[in-house]
Amino acid sequence: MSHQPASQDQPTSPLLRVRGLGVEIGGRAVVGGVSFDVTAGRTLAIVGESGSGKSMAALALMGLLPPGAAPSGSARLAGRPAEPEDELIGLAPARHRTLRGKRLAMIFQEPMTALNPVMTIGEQLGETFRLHAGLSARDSREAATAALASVAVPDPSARLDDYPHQFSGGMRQRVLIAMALAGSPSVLIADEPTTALDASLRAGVLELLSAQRTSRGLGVVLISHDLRLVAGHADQVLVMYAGHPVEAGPASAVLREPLHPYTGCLVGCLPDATTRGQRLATLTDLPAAERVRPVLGRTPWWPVASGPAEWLPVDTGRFVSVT
Amino acid sequence: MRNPAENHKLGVPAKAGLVVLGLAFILCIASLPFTLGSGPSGQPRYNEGELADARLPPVWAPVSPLQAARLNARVPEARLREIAESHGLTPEQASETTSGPCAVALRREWVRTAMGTDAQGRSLAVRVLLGGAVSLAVGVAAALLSVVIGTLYGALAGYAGGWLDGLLMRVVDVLYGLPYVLLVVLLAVAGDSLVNEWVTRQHERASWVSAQGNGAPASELREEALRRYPPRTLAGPSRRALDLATLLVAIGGVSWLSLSRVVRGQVMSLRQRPFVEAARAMGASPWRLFWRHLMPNLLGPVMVYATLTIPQAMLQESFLSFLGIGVPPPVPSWGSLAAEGLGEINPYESSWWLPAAPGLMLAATLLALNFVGEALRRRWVR
Repeated sequence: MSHQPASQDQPTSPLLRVRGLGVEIGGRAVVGGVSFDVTAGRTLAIVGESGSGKSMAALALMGLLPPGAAPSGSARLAGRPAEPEDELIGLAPARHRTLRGKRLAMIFQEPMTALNPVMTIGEQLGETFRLHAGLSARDSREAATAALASVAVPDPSARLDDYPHQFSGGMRQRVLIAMALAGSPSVLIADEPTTALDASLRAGVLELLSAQRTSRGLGVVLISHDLRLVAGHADQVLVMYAGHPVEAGPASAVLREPLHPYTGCLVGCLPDATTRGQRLATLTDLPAAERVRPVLGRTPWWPVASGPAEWLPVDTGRFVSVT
Repeated sequence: MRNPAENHKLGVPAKAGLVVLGLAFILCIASLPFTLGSGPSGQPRYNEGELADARLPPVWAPVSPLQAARLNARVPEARLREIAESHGLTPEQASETTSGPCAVALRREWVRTAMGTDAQGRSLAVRVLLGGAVSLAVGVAAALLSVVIGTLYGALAGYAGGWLDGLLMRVVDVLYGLPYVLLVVLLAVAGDSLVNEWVTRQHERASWVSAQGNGAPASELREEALRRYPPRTLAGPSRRALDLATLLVAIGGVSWLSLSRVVRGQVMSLRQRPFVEAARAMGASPWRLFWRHLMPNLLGPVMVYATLTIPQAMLQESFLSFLGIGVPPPVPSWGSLAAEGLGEINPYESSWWLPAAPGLMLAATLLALNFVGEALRRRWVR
């Protein structure tokens, strides 16, 4: 397999440079060949169906893989001026823990259960500030109030003493975003942050993430199965299928003109105002490889197929895997 | 789904249980200065009594003609005659009377205690009060001990997982397999012999003697050893305190098994909860995860099992006291009082109040604890 950088046209050096990331569980590769760059102030979306290895890749970066799962490849997290660059794969657990929350943070899919039910919001937020910024109890409370205000939770100082069950799902996800940002990390991984939320709340949470990204210069990795939803909030897209990337490129280009049949299916499986009265695409409706061949000039590579894959550069910063 | 509001209401049994428990605790503990204080003869009140006052029935209890004759005979003769005359009876008639105003007047003369006296003439009321304090203290302390051991052990097993979990849980299985009375007796005996060794220092002397080689005659060596390692003395109260501590360790040491299993299961399910992963993603250390995120979530079930462990521990204490290896006499406990009292039941003249009073108190307290524990369980353990 030959891998080239997923994106080369970034003017600044990336915050996180992932090359050939793989995860093996019990000798079976569940993720392989994942490469991408995360740059400051930009969002990279990793898109794919359930089980496509998106979350596994994210957990490998966080050092939170379940026991028995072994990561491989390389992921270099750029250091801040005073700090060294860190290779995340194979990093000592103790060092990895000091990075988590402080330079690399993650928010999870389930806002309903990702907060400790017996601690108040203020305690949990304050704990993160005490942990990472070394603030005193009173200072951390003030910081927690400010953090809640920054994620647009109304009446933040009063809500600090509330317990998670007194918050709605959307508000909880905002709290979780505030917690993830409390250690002022440079890279934020959002693992399906809107999946468990009502459709009406999704845009709000994604807008909040975008706003925080631009104001803090965060590099965001947005993991989702909903290509349409994330495309509007992402600069780059990496499409994964069965543990392998199949297509990468600028979000608008990938959405407008999907090259890999699987990407086409992801785009086509969503209801659309312009395609009334048509049946939505499913995986079994995938266009035959032959139909894509004239466009690509090569056969698209399916991760389930044996044989090596190759990144075919299609356009500036745009790649698709071919046989 | 159940209505959440219903779970927060305490049922009638739980309310009654709380009242009984509160009364038992307040009465037994508030009366400690009195029961432990010294009476007219200089002995502590719980151990004070004259053989002449043995087996007096409670104030309110009906007595048989036989008992009446024995008890009325305790009234000084001059006083007996005086009372008999005022009721228009001869002294002989008066001493045999079991009911009526004359009997009441006579009873006022010999009745001393509300709950009667035991075989050594000690007030049963005082002994039941102190026995309650001892039983409750032993129950609570043993439950606390078992909560500490069981929670830490179970949490460690559940948190560590893997081979360590397997090893720790197999140890619990083995301990489960042994009859607990045997364990308690072994622990109590082992503790006792340790105390004994500390007091007599036999082992220290023997090892010193054997280290000296064969130079000097054995008798001289033994004397020298006795001079170097004289036996220690242990005052009565500290000896009793040590015996109590041994009992506590023995009961607490065997009652943590089920709690550790419960806690292990809880920790294993809590570990999978997203908030633990979220805390890890926040950079929390394992230590912090354990104490700040896992432990507070364990509090509910642990408290419930603790309330259910208290009656268990009290019952075990009573049982051991009943067998004679529990609380050292003359300190009473409900179990030992009941055991003593049971010996007073015979076909000739039964002092039924002796087993009845501590038995009823024990039963009421255990029931109350179980009702309260059950209510807590329904509310906290889902």
